[in-house]
Amino acid sequence: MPTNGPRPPRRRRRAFLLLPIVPVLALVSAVWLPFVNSDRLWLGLPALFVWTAVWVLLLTPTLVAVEWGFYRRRGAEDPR
Amino acid sequence: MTALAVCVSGMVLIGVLGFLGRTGRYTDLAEWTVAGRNFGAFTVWFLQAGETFTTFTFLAVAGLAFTGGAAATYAIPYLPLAFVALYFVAPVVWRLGKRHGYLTQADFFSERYASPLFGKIVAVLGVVFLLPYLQLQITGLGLIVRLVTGNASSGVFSMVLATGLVVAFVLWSGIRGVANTAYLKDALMVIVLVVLLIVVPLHYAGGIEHVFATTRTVDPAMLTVHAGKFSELWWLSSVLVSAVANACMTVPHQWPGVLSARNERALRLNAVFLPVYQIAIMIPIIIGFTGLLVLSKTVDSNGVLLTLTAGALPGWAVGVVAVAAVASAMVPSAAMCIGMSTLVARNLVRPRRQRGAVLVNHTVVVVTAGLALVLGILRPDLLANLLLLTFSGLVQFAPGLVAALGDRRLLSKGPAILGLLAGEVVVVWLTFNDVSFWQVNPGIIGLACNIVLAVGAQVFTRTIRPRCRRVGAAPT
Repeated sequence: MPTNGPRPPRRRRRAFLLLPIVPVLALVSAVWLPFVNSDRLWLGLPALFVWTAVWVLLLTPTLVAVEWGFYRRRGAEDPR
Repeated sequence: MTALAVCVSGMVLIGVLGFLGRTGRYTDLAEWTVAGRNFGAFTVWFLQAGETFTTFTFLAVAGLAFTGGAAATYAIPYLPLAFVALYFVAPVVWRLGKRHGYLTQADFFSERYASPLFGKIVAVLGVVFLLPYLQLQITGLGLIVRLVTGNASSGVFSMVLATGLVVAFVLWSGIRGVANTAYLKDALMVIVLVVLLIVVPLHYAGGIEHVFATTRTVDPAMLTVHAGKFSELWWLSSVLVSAVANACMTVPHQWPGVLSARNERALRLNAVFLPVYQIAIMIPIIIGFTGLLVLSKTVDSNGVLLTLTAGALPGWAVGVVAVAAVASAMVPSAAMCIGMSTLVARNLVRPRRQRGAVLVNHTVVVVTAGLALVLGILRPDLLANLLLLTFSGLVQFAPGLVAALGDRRLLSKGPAILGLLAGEVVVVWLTFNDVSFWQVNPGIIGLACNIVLAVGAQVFTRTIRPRCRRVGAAPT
């Protein structure tokens, strides 16, 4: 659904597309981070579990931000 | 006996729900396969989630945690990573599918590359790689019933019953039947997994915290991914091959779910929220760790979850867990039947009349499910080697798909086919000769060869060959 406010510049809208890169990099690098891939427990769970779970959960807000910042602001209507 | 009764009742209930999915008379494949492209976000959610949680989730992930410890964590991020890419890819595929009337994965390759041959190659490889996966579901289903009843013949009986029910409701209701059963399957699975998360660690180790605290004392290496059979490179390449395979929609039965969406927004919305759902895969991993502490190493790793469940819950509750596990075999099996049958009817046999296409399609459903069942009972190991190829083989479709998503194709059909076939040859060679390079998944090595050859051939055809032609054409 398009917003009523002024459309932000295209460059700023496209910056939203870069947001998911952060959790993606955090997930694929997990086993190479010594403080993550270790036998220590965080909140009673292995650090690797907590790290992957947190970053997986953060994927959703970053994609919500892309949806809101890129697609909605672009005012793209889906064909029905 | 109670568990078997609950299990059989659950299977029949799934079958009935599948039958009730039908809404009218199906006159063409489009209605049967993609429900007239009219599903909203809610239904597409269950279709997409239903395809991702299979018997693998219930049995193999817990088994991997039991044998490899933290190595099993590779199963947590790969689907969420795939959904990030699918957020962008699925709407493009859906748009192209609506414009050109795709019903199958091979339709995409056939149309985008203007090459029915490419479509046929993709269809053949899709069926070859998916058939062992279908057999795995049926064999897994038999294993589940055998484990909860302790009776081998009830395992075989349940395999026959479940396959018969799946074939019947798929023929009757098509994808609407799959959607109807997926609602029950996912609701049941979430409830069962949450109950198991609480009960199993508490019963055997005094709680989740104790499971990991004891593991840290007894065998701390199991809490890390380290050098050996399940090294860091194994972990990363396994994540990547599974993520790319799902992200690039290389699995044939992903297509009906995506193409059945009413609009692009439904697909984007699901890609946003489906990663949260994948967190549930941590539960079988935690149960696998519990097994590590209390079970003998000689226990069949695939049976860890159900063995622990049987020791912690009463018979009827074990039956309910088995129904959830059985549903996680039946629903994806139904989707696979639709994926494979449409590939054959649309892209290989291609009857001229709509009626003929429906007939071929339905015949293929019966033949593939029957074949998977017979092999699952008589020769369960026959397709086992092919199963090793399923994801590493299917992921070879990725470069060809990505290159053809945009308005301007990045690869011509020749280089794309060459890359695909080269990738498959490399994967087959590495897998069957048991060749391993630092535990890197063969699919990734095949994919690298695939991309290098396809790009190289593309550069050759775009630059060198026209020059040769010009030179050849020049008067001497």
